[in-house]
Amino acid sequence: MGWFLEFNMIVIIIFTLFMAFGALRTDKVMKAAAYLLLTLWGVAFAYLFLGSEYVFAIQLIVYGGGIVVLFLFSVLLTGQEEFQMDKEFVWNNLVQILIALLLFFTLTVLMLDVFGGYELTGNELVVLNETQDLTQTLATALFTNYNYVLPILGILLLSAMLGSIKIAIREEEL
Amino acid sequence: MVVPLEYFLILSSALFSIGVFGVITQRNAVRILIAVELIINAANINFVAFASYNPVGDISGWIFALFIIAVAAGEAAIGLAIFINVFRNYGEIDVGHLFTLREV
Amino acid sequence: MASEILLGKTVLISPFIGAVIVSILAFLHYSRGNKHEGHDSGKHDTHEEHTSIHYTRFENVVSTFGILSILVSWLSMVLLAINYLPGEEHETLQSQFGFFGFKEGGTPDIPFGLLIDPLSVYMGLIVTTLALLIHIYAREYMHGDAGYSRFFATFNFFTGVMLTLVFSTSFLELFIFWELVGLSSYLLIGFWFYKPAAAHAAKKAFLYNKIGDITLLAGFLMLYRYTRTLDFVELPAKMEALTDQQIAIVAVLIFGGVIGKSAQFPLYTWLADAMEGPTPVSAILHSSTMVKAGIYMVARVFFIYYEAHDGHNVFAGAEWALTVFAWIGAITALLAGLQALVENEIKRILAYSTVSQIGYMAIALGTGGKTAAMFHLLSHATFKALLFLTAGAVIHAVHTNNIWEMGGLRKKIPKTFWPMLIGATALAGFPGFSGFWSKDAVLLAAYESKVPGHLVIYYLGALTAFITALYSTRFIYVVFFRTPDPEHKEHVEKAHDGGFFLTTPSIILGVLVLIESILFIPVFNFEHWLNEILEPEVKPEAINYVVAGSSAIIVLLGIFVGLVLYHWKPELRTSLYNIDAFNWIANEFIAKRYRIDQVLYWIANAPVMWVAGILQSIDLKIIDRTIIDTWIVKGSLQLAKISDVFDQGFIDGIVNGVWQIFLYFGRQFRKLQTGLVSNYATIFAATLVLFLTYVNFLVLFK
Repeated sequence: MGWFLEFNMIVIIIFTLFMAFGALRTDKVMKAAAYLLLTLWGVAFAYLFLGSEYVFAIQLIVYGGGIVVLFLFSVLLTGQEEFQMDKEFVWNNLVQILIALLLFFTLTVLMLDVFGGYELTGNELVVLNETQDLTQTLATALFTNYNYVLPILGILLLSAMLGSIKIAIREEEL
Repeated sequence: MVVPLEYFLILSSALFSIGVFGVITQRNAVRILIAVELIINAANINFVAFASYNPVGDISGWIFALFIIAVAAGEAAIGLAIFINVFRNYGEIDVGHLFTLREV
Repeated sequence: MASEILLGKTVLISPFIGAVIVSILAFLHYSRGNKHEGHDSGKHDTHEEHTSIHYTRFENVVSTFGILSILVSWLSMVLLAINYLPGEEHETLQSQFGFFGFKEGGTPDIPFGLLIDPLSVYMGLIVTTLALLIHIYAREYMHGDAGYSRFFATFNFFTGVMLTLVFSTSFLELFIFWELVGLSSYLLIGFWFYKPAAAHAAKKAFLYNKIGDITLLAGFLMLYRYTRTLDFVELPAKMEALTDQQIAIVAVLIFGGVIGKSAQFPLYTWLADAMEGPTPVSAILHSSTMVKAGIYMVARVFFIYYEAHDGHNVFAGAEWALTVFAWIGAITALLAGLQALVENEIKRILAYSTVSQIGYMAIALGTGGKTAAMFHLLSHATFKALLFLTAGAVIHAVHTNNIWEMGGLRKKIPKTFWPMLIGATALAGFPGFSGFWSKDAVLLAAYESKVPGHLVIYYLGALTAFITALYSTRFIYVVFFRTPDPEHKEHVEKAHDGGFFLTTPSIILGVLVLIESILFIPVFNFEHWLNEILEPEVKPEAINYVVAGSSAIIVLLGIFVGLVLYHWKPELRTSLYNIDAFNWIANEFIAKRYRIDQVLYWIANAPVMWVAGILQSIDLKIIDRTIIDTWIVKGSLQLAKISDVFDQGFIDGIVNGVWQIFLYFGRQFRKLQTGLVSNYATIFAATLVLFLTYVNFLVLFK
């Protein structure tokens, strides 16, 4: 069973990264938003593998639904000119690719150095603990120790809503 | 959970690098915001992964992930508003042509 | 017991089934290739030509199913309510359909289900009765509208959501349906969403409600944190666990929700804008649902403010919250009443009158009169629904909203005039009518309470009663008795009563108001009975003849002044308006809503601008002036002086070489300042790589 899960995880990782790369390299912005949606789905499935169904659901609803719709709106409202791929190879591009690769390399090495040595074996993991329903644990935490999180989020989103109305509205519409 | 933690770490750092690559190469503001979302997702994966692999059973990381998702939603909304404003003023949102901050 | 729960479930589910059936019917209708018919917004004069017989048949089917579902709900509600008649045993039934999974680790779960007790039955009866009558009315009123099926689906959904809110058994369930009430009111206010004003009004209602909703959410989450339950049945016993400060915070936060939803000062202006929706929407929004949800919720959670089984003992912490609430109610009642006096659109007059009357209910709740509040809620729901239905019929007859374009309609539309007269008399609180008795109960609660400043609140309430009588007289006189202006004579002449479905509900409501008026006479002990089923632990207050008599005199005085100003001596009004100060107050201050919207906008805007201003001045004064001007500029001046000294002493060639090197680097660095985001980001990423490499080395060779 273990190798099967691992295999699936590898498939999801490859899928997610491929889609993320596709989001940056397609010719149309609209397509980029679609690729972003698929990337977000891939990340959501990674959450599922991590045992948090609730975050999975929120990722699908808020990210996969709301935010991608917002992106589609911004594409629609700001015109969708085609992306000009740089036909000739520019010196600048090599630098950028090099920076990205170096970043990936250093980040991975650092992560694996710091967290690889802890030997987080399966038995210790909270996720395997069958007696505890994690979604319930999350809900209890949200309603007790973290009970300020939801109101703060409410205020935050309300002010974001008011702020974006204020920014986007024309002065004469006020 | 038999999938090792390393998988998620590699996924997140790769996603982060792709996001940074997007931010430094793209010229359309909407695409830059898409790349920023990738970066945020990379951070989110780390939060959720470390919370799930936490032997004590503290799931604060998940709550942080929820918080980050909500903040990303707000950020996307405000970003859209700013783009609309920029588009209205300049007629385009290509950051390659918006260099009013340039040293003259 | 089992049958009662079944009845309760029928009450709740029936409207939702109606909404689903209407949606399916509409889907079938339009998927068969039928074109969209009907006119856009509220052009009720020309609809006959626009709709085919086919569409009319479709409308009839849709509205029949919509009304039938509410009828089923109403019938089961009546059957359920029979058990709660005076003298019957009344008990609290709780049926839990499910839980919001909190079973683990000793955490009590939050039930999702049905709570049947006298309060919810009382409220549910009001909601279903008025919803039924307003549905019947809407059948004809919405005729020929392009969104007929959409209207009925949303309307049924609204009713069902409100009923579920009324019967909800835990705070979380109540909150979910509270939000859904907000959503469906958004849909209904913005029903004619292609009108910019309607879209704006819907947005405004939604945003203003959200402000209250956030505080309500914070309030009950806090309650859960301390008591570990949100069940309305279990909560009262657990309130002892809270300290005074905790109770105070929870109480204030929950009142915040009421201020948003029930349109209290300062968040009340959305309710007048909500008049952009169709009239049946205004009627149900103002009479029994939406704005009453807040009042109902406070009545439901009254145990937060008063100790559970011990009458009028206020929790020490909740006292000032109650005082604040009573004061807000009094201020709202007065301000909205004054505004109704200067408003010219008939529906807006009624809207401000609703705000004012809900202010009364807030006074009652704040001064401890739960019974008085629910009493006034009943009488207000009835006469306000009646007034809105008749106002819609008036608008339907003369095709205008402005009362000054009407006049002398008494003879033209008698089937509308008489019910509206009854409704307005009840609203004014004419002695003997239903509004008089309930308003008297509220004033009595304020008069006899122990809240600080309760006498001032009582005087404000009495002043509002005077104003209420004045504006009731005003709009009744102007609409029905005044000789119409010559330029509007034509459409007034053409006015005629609506059809069967348009007039019958208002006639029924008029009869209901009359029945209530008789029933509320203290001889029949209605209030005592209400007191007994709602809060049996509190001893009812006997009628106070000083309060009752004085409010009767006040009301009669108000009607008299109204008649003087509008009938006998209209020139007095002109001379009043000639006084500059009066004119300014009436037209610039009150008619512009006391500038509340501007103030709210300023509150939302100013802190941000203030912080931004501070940051800007930090940027300008500290960074630019101090750091750059003082340190860097002066420092480099010093350096220049030193180098000047060195320059005198050293060979020119070396110095020249130095400045050339600096010039070279300066030119190179200058290229970085391209103003291009990508370049900055690249530099940023490169720096990140360098930093990570450094940390990597630290980790590797530690």
